[in-house]
Amino acid sequence: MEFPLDPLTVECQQCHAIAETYDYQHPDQAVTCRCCPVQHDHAGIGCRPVTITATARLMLFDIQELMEMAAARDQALFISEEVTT
Amino acid sequence: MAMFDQTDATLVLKAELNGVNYTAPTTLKTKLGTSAPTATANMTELTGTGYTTGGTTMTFSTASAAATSNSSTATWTNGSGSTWSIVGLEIWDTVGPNRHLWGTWTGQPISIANTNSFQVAAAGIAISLVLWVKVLY
Repeated sequence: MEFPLDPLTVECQQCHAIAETYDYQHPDQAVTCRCCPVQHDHAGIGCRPVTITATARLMLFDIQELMEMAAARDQALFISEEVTT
Repeated sequence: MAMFDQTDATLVLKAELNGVNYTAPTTLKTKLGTSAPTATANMTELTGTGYTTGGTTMTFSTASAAATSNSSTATWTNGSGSTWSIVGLEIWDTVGPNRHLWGTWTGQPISIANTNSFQVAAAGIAISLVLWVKVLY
């Protein structure tokens, strides 16, 4: 179990076309609009830039780390039970 | 684990358990980083045209049920000439300045090509002290 990733929201600053993407390395390629008819990075000559909106979750505990801790604890308990039996 | 600067966490505990008042910050700035922070080590702060060292002032909603989020928005436009790779964020006060909270962006690293903008919408930074132990045990 782990948190589902939130998508990035990408909006062309010229025509305001919006897309969502999970490609965090190339988010600008998510928007193909009339400003930029070919899929690209919205950063080339003549291309209109995009605004990429991101999210963050600040929590006291990271759920994935907790899962790993629980798994490690269960493994330790299992080994302990094997030794004692 | 994500969230509290260790020094800040100590101050919170002192306020709750040792009668030492916590000095509440009045102005908070959010920094962007190119590496992941930890409880004891700051991230490497982003540099380049479009980003002001020290971060951007942001406001946060009144906490409720052990959670809150940002109420203001922030936008940085990359004019550095190269792609930004954004990994971490830190929330600092302007007095010390002291670091308070830290974390990483969902899906990081996030690439922001030159001329493009990186934005945080209202409620884009979710902050919670809710524990998830019940899920596990």
